[in-house]
Amino acid sequence: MAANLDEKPVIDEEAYYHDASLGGLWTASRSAVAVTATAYGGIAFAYFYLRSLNSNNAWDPGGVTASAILGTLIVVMAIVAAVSNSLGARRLRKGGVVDWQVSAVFSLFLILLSAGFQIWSLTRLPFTPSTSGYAGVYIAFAPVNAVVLVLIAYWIETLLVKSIRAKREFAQDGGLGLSSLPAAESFRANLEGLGFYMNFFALLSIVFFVIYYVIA
Amino acid sequence: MAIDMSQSTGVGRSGDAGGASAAPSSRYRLNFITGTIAAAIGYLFGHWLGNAIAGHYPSIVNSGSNDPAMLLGFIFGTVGWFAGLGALNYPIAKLWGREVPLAEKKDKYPFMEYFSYSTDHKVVGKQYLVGMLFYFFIGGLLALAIRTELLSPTYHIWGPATYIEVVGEHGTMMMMMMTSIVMGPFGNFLIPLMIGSKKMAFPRLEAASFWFTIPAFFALLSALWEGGFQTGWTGYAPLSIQGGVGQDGYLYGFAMMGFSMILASINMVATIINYRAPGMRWSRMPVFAWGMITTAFTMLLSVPVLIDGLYVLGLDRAVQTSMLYGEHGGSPFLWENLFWFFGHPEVYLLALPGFALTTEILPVFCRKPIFAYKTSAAGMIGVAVLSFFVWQHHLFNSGINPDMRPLFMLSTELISIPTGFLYLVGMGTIWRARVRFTVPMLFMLAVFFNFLWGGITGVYNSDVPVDALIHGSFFVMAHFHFTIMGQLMFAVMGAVYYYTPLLFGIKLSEKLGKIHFWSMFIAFNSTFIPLFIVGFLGQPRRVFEYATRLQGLNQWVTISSYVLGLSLAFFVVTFVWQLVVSRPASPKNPWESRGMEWQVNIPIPAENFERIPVVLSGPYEYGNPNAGPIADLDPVVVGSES
Repeated sequence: MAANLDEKPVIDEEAYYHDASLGGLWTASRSAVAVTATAYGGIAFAYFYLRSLNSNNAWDPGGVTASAILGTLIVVMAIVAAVSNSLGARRLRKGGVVDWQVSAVFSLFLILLSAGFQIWSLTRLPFTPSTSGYAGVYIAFAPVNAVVLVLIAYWIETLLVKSIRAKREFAQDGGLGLSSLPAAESFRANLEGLGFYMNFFALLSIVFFVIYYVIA
Repeated sequence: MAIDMSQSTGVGRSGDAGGASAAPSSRYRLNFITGTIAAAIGYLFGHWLGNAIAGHYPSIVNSGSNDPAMLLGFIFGTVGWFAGLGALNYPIAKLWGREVPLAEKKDKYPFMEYFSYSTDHKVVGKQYLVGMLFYFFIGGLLALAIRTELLSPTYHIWGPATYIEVVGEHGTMMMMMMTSIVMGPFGNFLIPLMIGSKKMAFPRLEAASFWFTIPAFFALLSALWEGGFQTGWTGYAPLSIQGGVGQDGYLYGFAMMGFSMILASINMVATIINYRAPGMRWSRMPVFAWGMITTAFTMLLSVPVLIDGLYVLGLDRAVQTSMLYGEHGGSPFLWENLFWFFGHPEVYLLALPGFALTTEILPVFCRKPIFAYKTSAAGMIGVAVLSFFVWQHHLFNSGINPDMRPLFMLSTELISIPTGFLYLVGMGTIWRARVRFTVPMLFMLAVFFNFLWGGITGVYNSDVPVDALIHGSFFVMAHFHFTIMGQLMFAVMGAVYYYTPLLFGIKLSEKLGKIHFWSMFIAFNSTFIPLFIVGFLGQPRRVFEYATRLQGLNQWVTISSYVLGLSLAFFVVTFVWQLVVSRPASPKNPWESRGMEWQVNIPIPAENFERIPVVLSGPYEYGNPNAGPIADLDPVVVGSES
């Protein structure tokens, strides 16, 4: 905002709303993190509440957990996908669009595989749903985790396809990673939100790996 | 979590960004009819699938109920509903990398726009208003059914099971749907206008938040035809895992409403933080916007836990987990904790928007600034934060560790301090004011009268000994009706009268409004004050029989409730008459408000403001002769807009 000769405020409206939309993306991705943290927090509360109560000595009488191999694969893939996306995004900001696209394909593959393993784990449970408190909270956790993984995959996929479609649009302006066009900035803001969310999710996955497989 | 990228950078130009969604063809438009057809198909498919999957399970074969079929029916029905509305076109198009532009905003829409997946915040606000008032009146009819049964302790209209079904439906309808009765209509409609924006941050999320309320409503209502749910709105286990499939309607409807609240909140937070006009500093932001952002944050951090609880309940019912069943390692108290972690903040999700509306409207009719504006904002933040630390007071009587009681008693008492801020801000604003006793102002004054009853009784309800005595009685029921209906619904009614010029371009009759106000105010107090007495005399909640010595008071209450119902019916008839038939035109800014939302023309232009306004001063500088205009509505615009 500035003043002209008549002391009237001067506004670049397009730039103002563009900045607002970038801020909106930032806020939304952080809100998504808050919602996810709270939702997972509720499940973690259920876990620790039932574990500490150990009603009827039936929290986990046989000490049986869900498949640790699948659980390990899921968390490792979530972490590797987050790291891959972060490195790719860094390359993108230096102009390496293809580098990011490759990392995005890799991340997408890992996240989809991870979601698949999470669903598969439900078919290989060494307990029935009503066996124990642990069984219940694991069966509550696994579908939620699978759904979040699928949503992350959707997010990566839409950005990936968009980057492919927009290749020509930004080619003359330094490419998607360097272009100062509003659409490119929006793309990068969206990607930054995805990166933040994936990093958060990787941390969350580690926490839940610990509680479901290490201290169970 | 996929973020809706429906906003884009160009602004004010029709079609390519601004605020509106999926650009529909002018020849056809998906709407609630196609949504209903697709929902029916989805429901039938889901129900069939559930039967195919679980119909042969021993636990289901002779039980007479199939929870997986019910829940899958609801889930696929909801997916069908959104597909039929056209809401899924955009996320599917994004899979192919295509950006579907938002539909062009218009000054005037065809009637069917209001039955479609519109992304204009003004349309969504009106959809919400009609929807929420409809849900409220359905809940009100159920309340009259309850009161009719209580006319006599010995002669019964409903059986005990039907009675508790009606009580549960009424309670859930009101507590579940009414969480959005301010943020839905007034938040969505007014916030962009109040902060000087042409649009919301995420118009598609905003639209989705409204259209989630409809499957929520029908899922909940369907419980009446499925044997109801015996648990009341609190859904306590183990009764909730033993009940029939009506309980599935309860848990699914509540969860859908939870999704609605989350989406609405993300949009509201992103809009208020990022889309304020130049010069709209936090210290100049309308109190209503403060109320909306604190409510939205509270929803974001509490509603997911409710959805967790409902999910756990659904799994116990449909998948036979045992998280709420002690024999197999679960605990019914898990539900109580998950539910009340949301449930008590929810009380403030109802109260905060009511106070926000009240504090917003009071100075207009007092013609003086808000008393202690910053205290008002601090009070809202304080209530929002403390609301997360009080939920265990609902467990005083149901098994909480006795050592924990004093802590939660104290935190509950503490929350009366920021709540008191909000009350005193109102009182300070009225103090020595030259009050204009218009209909909206009368409703706002009634808010303070009613809340005094509800608030004071709430303070000593938080004391463990008192709570232990009266918790299950009509006393508590009277307390929370004063805080919720007496505060929130009176604020909403006042806001309807106040904002109708902006919403519909008409100014409702003062004479008819005053008849509505006085009848509603007297009947409301006549209904609920005696309930404190019958509660003290020992009448329990949720029981359809009572001591014959209480019959006189109960009959008084029932007749008063009928008058209350008639008063609301009078409002509906006169409102619809004026809206559809007589349409008394409203001048621009009929209340002489300084609020930014009133600086626009009536009817409101498609883009709200011709140019992005520049805010120059606060909205409450009434009575200040040196106060300049609130905003420059005609700044010099450069860039593509110039």
